[in-house]
Order: sequence, then C-alpha cells, then structure tokens
Amino acid sequence: MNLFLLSLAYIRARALNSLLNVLLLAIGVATITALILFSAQMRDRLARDARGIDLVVGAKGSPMQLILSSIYHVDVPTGNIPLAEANALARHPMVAAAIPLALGDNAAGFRIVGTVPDYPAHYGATVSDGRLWQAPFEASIGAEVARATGWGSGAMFVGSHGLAGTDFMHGDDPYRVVGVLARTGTVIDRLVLTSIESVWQVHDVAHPEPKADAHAGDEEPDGEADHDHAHGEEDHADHDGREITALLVRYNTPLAAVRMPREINSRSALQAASPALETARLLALVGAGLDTLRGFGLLLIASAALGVFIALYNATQQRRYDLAVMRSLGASPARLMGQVLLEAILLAAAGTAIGLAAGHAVTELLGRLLPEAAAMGLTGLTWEPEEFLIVLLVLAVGIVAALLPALRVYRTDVAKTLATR
Amino acid sequence: MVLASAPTAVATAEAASVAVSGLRFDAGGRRILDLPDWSVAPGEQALLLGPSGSGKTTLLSLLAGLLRPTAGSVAIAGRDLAGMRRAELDVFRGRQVGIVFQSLHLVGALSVAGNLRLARYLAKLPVDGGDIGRLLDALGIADKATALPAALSQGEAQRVAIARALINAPALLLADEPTSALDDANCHQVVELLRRQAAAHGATLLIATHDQRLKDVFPNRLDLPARP
Repeated sequence: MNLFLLSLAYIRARALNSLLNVLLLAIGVATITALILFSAQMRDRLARDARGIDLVVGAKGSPMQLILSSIYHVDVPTGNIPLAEANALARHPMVAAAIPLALGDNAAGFRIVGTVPDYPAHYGATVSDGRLWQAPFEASIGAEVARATGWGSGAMFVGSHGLAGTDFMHGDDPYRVVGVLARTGTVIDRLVLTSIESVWQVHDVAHPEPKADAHAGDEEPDGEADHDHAHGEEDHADHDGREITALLVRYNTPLAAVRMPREINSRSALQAASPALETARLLALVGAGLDTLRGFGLLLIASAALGVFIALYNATQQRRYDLAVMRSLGASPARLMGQVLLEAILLAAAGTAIGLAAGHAVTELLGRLLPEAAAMGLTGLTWEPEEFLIVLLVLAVGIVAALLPALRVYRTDVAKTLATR
Repeated sequence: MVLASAPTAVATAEAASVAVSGLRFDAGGRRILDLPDWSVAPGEQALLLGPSGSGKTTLLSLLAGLLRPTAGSVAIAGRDLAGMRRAELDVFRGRQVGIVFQSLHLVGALSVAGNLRLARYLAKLPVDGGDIGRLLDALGIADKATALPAALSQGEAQRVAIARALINAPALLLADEPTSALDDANCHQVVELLRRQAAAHGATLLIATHDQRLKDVFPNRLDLPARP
C-alpha cells in the first residue's frame, strides 16, 4: 500500500467517471498534437522545397501563384516567358545559378517538368535505379511517383495535357523511364523530370495550331484554361523564340536581393517573386486557421480540466469520511493532499499519454490516406519539442484542477466528520 | 462463531495508561464536556457510559488527539498530548491508538486486506507487517481478505473495523458505540471479542456507549451525565 496504489484504487472505484475524464483530456491533447505535427512538418516542408532558391522568375501574375506553381508544384503557372530573356537573366552578373523549368503536362497526375540535371542536384537527389534523362522523351521519376505508379526503368508512359490528371493524352509521344530518383523528402519525389526539349516537342507535334484552342476549351472545365497555355504552343510555333515557364535563380551576392526583383519587375513581360516572402505570406494565411484549431484544442483541454476538477471535488466530498479516517489512522494532511494531487496527476498523465499516441496515430493515418497529406510527406512517426510543452501544460492543468479539492482535504474537521453518521 | 480457540495475532504492545485532569471542551459557546479527574490503568478495560449528547464521542476524540481540549490535559502512556506538535501527534495516534468508529468508516475503494495495509502505511509502519492473515483469522473473517467493504455484512464489516484498529498493535483501543445496532447475543459477542483482542494485543480498552446492557460488564466505569 502506498499513495500510488491508493490513488489507483480510487480511480478504479469510479472507473467510468475516470475514463470519461481521461478521454476528454486525450481528445484535447490529440487535437493539439496533430496540429503541432502538421504545422511543423508543413513549415519544414515549405522551407526545404524553397531552400537555396532566392528568386523565381516567370510570367506576370500573382507572385504567390508563381511560387506555388514553380517551387511547390501545386498551382498552375502564371504563363510562359521567352527563353531568350530567361537566358539573358541567367547570365546576369549577380546570378550564381539559374535552373529553367518547362511545365504543362502530367503523367498519372504527377507533373512532368522539363528541366536540366541541376534541378534534381539542387535538392540533393541521387539516382537510386537507372540514370538521369539525356535524350528527348527519356524521363527520371521521383521516388513517390515510382511508388504510386509502380513504374521502374524501362516503363513507358504518355503525358496528359494539364497539370492534374485529364483525359487528353499525348498519345503520339510516349516517354520512357530511364531512372528512379532516391527519396529526398522534397518536391522532387513527386515529379517526372525530363528535358526541356521533350516538353517543347510534345506540344509542337501534339498541338498544331488549329487544335490548340479547341482542347483548351474542352479539357479544362475547372477554370484552369488560362494557365494551361503555360507551354504557349501558339507562340513558339509562330516565333523563332522558344519559351519556358519559370527560372529558379540563386544570387551570388546578397545585394541582388535589393536590385534584381525591381530590375526584373520593371520589364513588362517578366515577374520576379521571392520564395521566402511568399512562403511567409502563405504561412501567415494558413497560420490563422491553425491558430483557430489550436485554440479549439486548448478549449478541449480546459473543459477536460474542468471535468477533472468536478470529479475530484465530488470525490473528496464523497470521500470525506475516508479522508477523516485516514487522518485518524495517522496520515498528515499534507500526505492526503498529496494523494488527491497524485490522483489528478495520474488522470492527467493517462489523458496525455493516450492523447499523444492518438495524435500521432491520426497524423500518420492522414499522411497515408489523404493524397494531399501524402504529397506533403505528413508522418506521425516524428516528435516535435512543442509536444513536451503540451505534456507540461496538461500536468499543470491537472494539478491546478486538484488544488481546491486538495485544500478541502486540508481543512477537513476530522473529529466532526467522524462523529457524523 | 467460535472464537475461544482462534489463534491471536502476535503483535503486542505495552498497554497505555490514560489520565485526564481538569478536562473541558467547549464548542459553539456550549460546554460539551467537563471532566475533572479520571484515569485508567495500563491494560485495564473501562466503560464510558452516558446518554446521547453526554460528550462520549468528544471524549474519545480528545483521548485520540483528534480534538484539542479547551482546558485541562490528556496524557496517554504518560505523554501529554498537548505537548506534541500536530505531525508528532498524527504519528503517535496512528501507532498507539486504535479506533473503532460507530459508523466503521471502512475505505470503500480498498479490499479488507487493503484497509489493513492502509492503516500500516499511514502510520509509517512496514505495510505487510502486523500479520494481517492471522489477525483476520483470529476475528473469523480470513476468507474476506480480498472482499470489498460493500460486499460485507454489518457484522463482518465491524470485525474488519476492529482488525484495522488492532493491526498496528496499539497501546490503547477506543470503541465508539460498538453494540448500538446489535441484538443481545451479538452485543455480548462483540464486547467479548473486543475484550479478548485488546487483552491479546496488550492494549488498554475503552468503550464509549449508551448501551445499558454493558454497564455491569466492566468494573471501571465512568458515567457521563446528560447535558441540557
């Protein structure tokens, strides 16, 4: 017999009440845990995908859209820019490196990106099977693409027009997978990489000018028609200049951050957007929603604490004879207060443990079941330091909830209580 | 119920003397108890007889150190309770005084054996000492060790309360109205049980009661008058 066993006995003696309190706490903790994991991983992922890219240059439009489409590959591009201008920019003295991207099609819902080997190299991607693309219509696919489609080296596929799965197939121009990239935990995992020439050729051959308007109207019922001319088939058919969708730029001097965006934006056809700036803006927007959910989780914890308080308050009321008898058996008031506190801590600890486990399980489950969450690489198998704060918070809340009942124990008039029958 | 041949628990203590002088207790502006001089020798078995409201329970609480007197002194085994700090008094009571309450007050969340272990624990004694098995056996409730108090009959529960009062081998055993709810046969059986167990444990026994059936059983008897 000790205070721990005694507390357990009391918790067991009102098992249903204890269970409900623990569950209420667990739901609050689970909500907050899942939010912590989600927001931390989202921040982390956004930062990782944008790391080392100082500027994105693309067609005029929304800077956020340019960042979303060219770095995170989630939105549609703002349009195309002339290759000649992009090349001129790449040779700018303040530019250390520039990676061109040509977007427009998808394979099984994964974006086909015409680019150069510098692009996977930027994300530290290595080839786990086969090799990188060389000739046109060779493709190297990201790890997630390989997993989802089952394609390996030698597999053939055709691209579909647009950036998500659509019906229109570029059936005449099959790609051949020549390599699979090792998992990087970045956006590369979800991309099909090929040469820029492949993207140009597909659209030269597949969309001779008369057909271009027709399919743009039919195939994109979801209002993406504007952007899906990203590869600009009409333009490069007419002009000698080729086009690309965007250029990812790394500066070689911090000074460039001040001068280059202004320099580029003043030119009529081009837009420069800073990933750092736009990502911060995006997080601020998403953050408001996350904060609301977090407040909701805290509210759950507060109501659970109220539940623990009510339970303990009633328990000490019902148990006043027990407490008086224990005093008569030699227990000091401090020891009995300790017992009530311990009971609250046990309930809080159980709620926290179950809540943490559930929060991680739910996050992991979402990461596996929701395609959007899977794309983000959401997992419940990692820990965030913030979770320790939650543990401390809940234990503190449990102790506060027990203070008044414990104080009541302290004030029990033993002789009077025992004389009542 | 045959108890004569039952083995008695081994733990015994040096029985305590009880000495009261000039004892007064007031509450809410009323005098509850006024006891000029009274004493019980070590190992003696005495009766506090008086009607309801005569201050019997108050006297027991004063003797156990659960109440502090308004005036006068209580000495148990020669130790003046007023001279002890509260923490000291708690431990003293836990180890030296066993109390059987009128309403028993068993801890409902714990088994019979758990109630006994709790008494050991709260008195800061080794939890599994005191030979719980033999004590329960001596009281004829060995088979109830794992039962919860709610599953016991009134008679069984009273025996558990007695066992709990004895488990720490107290020098003084106090019983408040142990026979009030019992018929004649059970009344004498319980009193016999208390007397035998107190003797076996080397404890001084004080029974507070209004039960006139007991008045001739004890040579040392303190009559408390009814208070207006």
